[in-house]
Amino acid sequence: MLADHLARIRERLARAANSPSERKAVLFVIAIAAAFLLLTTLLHLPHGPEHWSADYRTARWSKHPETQHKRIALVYISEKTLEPYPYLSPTDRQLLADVVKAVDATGPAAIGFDFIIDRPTEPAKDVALVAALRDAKAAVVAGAVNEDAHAPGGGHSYQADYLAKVNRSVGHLHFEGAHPSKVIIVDNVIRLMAKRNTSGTYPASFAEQLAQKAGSYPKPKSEYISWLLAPTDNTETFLTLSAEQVLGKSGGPALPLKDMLNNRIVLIGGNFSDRDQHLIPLSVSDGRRYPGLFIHAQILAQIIDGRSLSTLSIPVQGVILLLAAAIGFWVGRRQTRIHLVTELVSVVVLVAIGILTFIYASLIFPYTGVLLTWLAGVSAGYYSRPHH
Amino acid sequence: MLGCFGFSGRGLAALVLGIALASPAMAELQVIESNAPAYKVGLTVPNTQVFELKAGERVQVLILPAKLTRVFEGKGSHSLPEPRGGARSATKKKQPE
Repeated sequence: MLADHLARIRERLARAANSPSERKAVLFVIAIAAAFLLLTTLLHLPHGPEHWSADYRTARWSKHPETQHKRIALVYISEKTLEPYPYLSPTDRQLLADVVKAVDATGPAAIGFDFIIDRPTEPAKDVALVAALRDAKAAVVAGAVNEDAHAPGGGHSYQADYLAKVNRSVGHLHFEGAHPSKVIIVDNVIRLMAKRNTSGTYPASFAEQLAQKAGSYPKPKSEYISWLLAPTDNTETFLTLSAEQVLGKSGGPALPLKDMLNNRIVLIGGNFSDRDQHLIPLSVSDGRRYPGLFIHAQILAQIIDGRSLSTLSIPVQGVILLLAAAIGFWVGRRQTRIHLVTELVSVVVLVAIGILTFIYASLIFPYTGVLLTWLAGVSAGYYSRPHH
Repeated sequence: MLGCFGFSGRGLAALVLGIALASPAMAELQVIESNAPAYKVGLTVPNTQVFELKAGERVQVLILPAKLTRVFEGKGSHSLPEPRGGARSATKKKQPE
């Protein structure tokens, strides 16, 4: 049976090689597949048109853990924390120092400090912050941004001085936004973690550095962030406290901070309405913005949980696009007119493939690229029929 | 008498004590952040509590003894076993300015 099929295919290929119109068809198919492979790789095609559906898929079918993450805790400083202070920005350094010391006293596995310290403020408070980070018993990772943002022309920045005095591991705080392109409209949704940038001032990311402090973990398979959805018991994704709670200034009885933060990786950062708030795929239904600290925590959780999303390699994508173009061409050749149903069914099938590969193989299927290739193949097949 | 069941008096007492200690403690919720006047910070309630919140109100609780945090927000009745979607993160939804 299979041998018969193979023989028939061989026969057709042999006929195609001898027929000018069939040769043209093969050339069409190869050209279409190559063109869309180039579009996919150079313009990051699948990241453009399929944003909404990909984000919906992520928000709907990512993992719901059973309960709150056991190893990560977040401590936020917000406008409410700063109500008694005369200024909101930069954040009072004495307050930051006090929070770091309070967290360190609980015996965390590591502290991640997500504040960019790029300008001097009140000297005594600046010194207090440096001392708190430098002298903490726990492993500390200080967040920073590339030096060229602060010292254009290669000068020595305040941030570099501060990091030298603190003398702790440094992780960059950048995320990867949309791939830069003049063609794709950027929607500023954070879907990717930043690539390890060896040419940047601080090559390793904040989350990577923190994960190293807590153990040894394999690198994620792709830059796509593997998001954790809300736990099934409806607790917050990560144990979350405010700085007021940590400092015992929130009113009410003191919290059992030692029990809550001991041996966890504690991330300290800001939750301000006017800065470092981002759209992520989980924002797709309600437009909710999330603090940068929450995104760092998601990346850290993915690394220490060993979760990854995979993407297809370029050769595999090439083969899939070639198949899509060839089958589309074959279907187009046999149609007496272009059927809307064919196109709709193909969209549904490809969306279903995208969802299933995401759920069962944690794989990002480049469905837009395949769909466009398929439709181009159908059109090329249809319009290259002999009567045209 | 107890000996015929293989227990000594002391053994039985230890068994009873062990069962008592192994029983899960009654879970409670401690309000640790709130902008709802009805639920002040520090209030401790049983885990069966239903939080009646008005629009814009938000209550963060510490679930004891597990020491997990949970947020209830928005108009309506909220309780521990409410369906998913009642709380997702500590980040308030931003209002358009």
